[in-house]
Amino acid sequence: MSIIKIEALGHAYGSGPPTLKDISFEIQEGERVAFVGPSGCGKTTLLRILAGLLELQEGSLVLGGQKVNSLDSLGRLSLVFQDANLLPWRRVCENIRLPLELRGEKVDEGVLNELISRVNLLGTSELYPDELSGGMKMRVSLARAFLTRPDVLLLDEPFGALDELTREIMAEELLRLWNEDRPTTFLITHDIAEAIYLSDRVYVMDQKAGALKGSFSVDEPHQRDRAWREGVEFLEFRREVSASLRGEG
Amino acid sequence: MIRIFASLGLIFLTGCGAPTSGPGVLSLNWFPEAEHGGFFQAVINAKGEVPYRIESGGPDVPVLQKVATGKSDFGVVNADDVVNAQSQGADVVALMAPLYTHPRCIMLRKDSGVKSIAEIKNMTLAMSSRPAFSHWLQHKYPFEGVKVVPYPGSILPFTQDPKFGQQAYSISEPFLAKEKGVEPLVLMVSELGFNPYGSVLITRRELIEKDPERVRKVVVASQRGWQLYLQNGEKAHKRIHALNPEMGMDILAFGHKEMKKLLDPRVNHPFGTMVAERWQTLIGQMTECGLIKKDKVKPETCFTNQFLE
Amino acid sequence: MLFFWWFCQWVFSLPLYLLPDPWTVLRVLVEEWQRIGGAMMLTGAASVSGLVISLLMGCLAGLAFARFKWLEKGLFPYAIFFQTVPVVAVAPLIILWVGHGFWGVVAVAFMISIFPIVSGATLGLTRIPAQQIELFRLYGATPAQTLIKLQIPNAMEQVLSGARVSSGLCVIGAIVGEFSAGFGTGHHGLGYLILFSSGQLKTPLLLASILASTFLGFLIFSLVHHLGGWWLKKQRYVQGEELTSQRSST
Repeated sequence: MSIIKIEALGHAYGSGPPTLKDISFEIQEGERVAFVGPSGCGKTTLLRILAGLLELQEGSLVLGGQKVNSLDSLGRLSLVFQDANLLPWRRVCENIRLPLELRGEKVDEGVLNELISRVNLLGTSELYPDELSGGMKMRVSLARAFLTRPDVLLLDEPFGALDELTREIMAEELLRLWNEDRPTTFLITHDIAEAIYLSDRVYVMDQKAGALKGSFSVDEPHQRDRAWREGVEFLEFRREVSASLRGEG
Repeated sequence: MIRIFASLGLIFLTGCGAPTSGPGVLSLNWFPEAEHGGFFQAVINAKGEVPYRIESGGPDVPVLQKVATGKSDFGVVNADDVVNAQSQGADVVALMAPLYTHPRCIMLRKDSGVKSIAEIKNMTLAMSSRPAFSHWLQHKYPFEGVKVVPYPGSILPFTQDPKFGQQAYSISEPFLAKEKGVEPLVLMVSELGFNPYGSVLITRRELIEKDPERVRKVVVASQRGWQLYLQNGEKAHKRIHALNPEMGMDILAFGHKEMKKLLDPRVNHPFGTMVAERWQTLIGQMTECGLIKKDKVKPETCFTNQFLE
Repeated sequence: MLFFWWFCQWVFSLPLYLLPDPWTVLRVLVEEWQRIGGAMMLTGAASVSGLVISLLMGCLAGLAFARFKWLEKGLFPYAIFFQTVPVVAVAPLIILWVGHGFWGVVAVAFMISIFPIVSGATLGLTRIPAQQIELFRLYGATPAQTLIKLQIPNAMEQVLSGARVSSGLCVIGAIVGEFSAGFGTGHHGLGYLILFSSGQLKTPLLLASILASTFLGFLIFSLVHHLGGWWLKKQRYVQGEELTSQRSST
């Protein structure tokens, strides 16, 4: 199991003030980390650097001792965007298979259809995005990310635009999908409960410095469910993270 | 093209056909050229009031409509234009015809080897569909293998292709061809049988009826102008050149010389006299090639010699 | 509108050679339907040919410009030349190069139609939502893949937009082109009819020809607009409801 070291990452857009400053943390392969913080604290920037979409300006990414430019050196990388980011002229099945198509890999129809049913989109594979609801589009986006069986999974506020009930349902689905291959996961969310529920460690980001100001390990339990989510322990976690976010303690 | 919209635009300007004091407008059918020389001379001659104010024409100026509606009191057109006007209910009348023979010709290149109109085969012939003569020519001659194309508006294609012939005025284009080093062969359309009067002075019948004295003065002044111009065109040419710089003094001088061949050979008639037979023939020819309906136009309505002295 | 026309003509007692009444024009349309119909077909054929060629070449040019930025910087200004130069002035020159006849007319129709296509294609191919570009980058798409799977679908709407403009222009081009090129001995399109009737003071025929030209332009535009619009909507190359005063169906 490799260790991924993020060392002193910094970034600024143009000649403006730095969006990220001195971000450092470590994560093991297969771990899930979540980032919470107010808007504009650089969460998305961090994610995009990790994805290789933004240039590594300051600091370094170290993988098993080697410096790399982005996390796709770990293997296959998938990113789930804040809005589903589906191509409107492609049907559901065509959108899902896009990454494999681009990589020139053959798509197993059976696997594709199974995935579609696992995200509860059975029967929709011939529909176009404009015929789907917000939640359905997000599920397509998830299916697209998972079809490639990624080693690294990045999620940028994936459920932000959805209502609470749908968000909870989607969180469950994400957990189930994740359990298959256990990709190393980076999740950005503004929902503290979601962050705790879906990760092994929660990092709190500070808007002013663009830095990390706290981390909370959520080691137990590995079997997450509704009961735990509504329990006292969970609530305690929430309070701690919340406090950190607000700048107390 | 603009002529079309100009004449449609005249719609909103009619209603003001009220006679204005002072000299009326004489609308030319083209930019000032040698074929208008006598009219310019009439203005130059005038002691006191000029007979008219000359307005230049061009490809898009609707002279017939202007004269018919009274926007212009007088105009200069060709005889076939008058016939067309009459057939469409525009009551314009020809008053004087300075050019007995029309300068229209087909200009070929000497190096094409073609010597007569009947020999025109397998070549390109550029003629405009707007005037009547091109329709009559195509009606009369088979023109085997001849590609009839639109009139190019410049002498350039003529200079580039020996197998290219085009419509022309005998008083103008041959000079340009020679200037560009190409020997032209001029076939007069009048000699082939189609000969409308040229540079004809027209007015609307209403004016003849309402103010014949004025018309008479204008006609006489124009006659005198032409007669003087034919003797010495220099003054008129200077004026024409000033209005139309593209017409150099040299080409105007050439036109002036060639024009002498187009005059009425009869000496005991007033200058510019017209003959009913000529009009009859013209009407017949235009009917024959389908331009006007049979018996629509009578020769006597097209012209009058009454003001000529 | 027809009534207004007739009314004007009647009130001002306009002579037929100046503005014929609608019935006269209608009568001429019927009497000369063969001539006018034949002219419409000829001009229509040249217009559509010019339009199709400009669609092909315009899209190719757009693709080249999108793929090679230096090409766009160098050549796009010349493309604008096609837009701004007065066609009436340049048509005779085009005929000198291309020659008379049908293809000469098509050349002028092409010249007047090409720019909106090039403009639409270039714009559509390069204005891509940033997120979609990221999606493709993320999964390692080659420039060719990006061109075919992302840029071209994205450009469809803009190309149709340009095609709509060109569909009206191509008829004008075919008519003006015929002024200089002609369709050949005895073959007469609407351009010929317009010149001929205006030169011979046959105003009813002139108006009938102009009406026929307008109708032809409208026909071609409708075809492009509706067929193109329908197909683009079906393939989802264009999204969104049209803004109307009625409530949407959802």
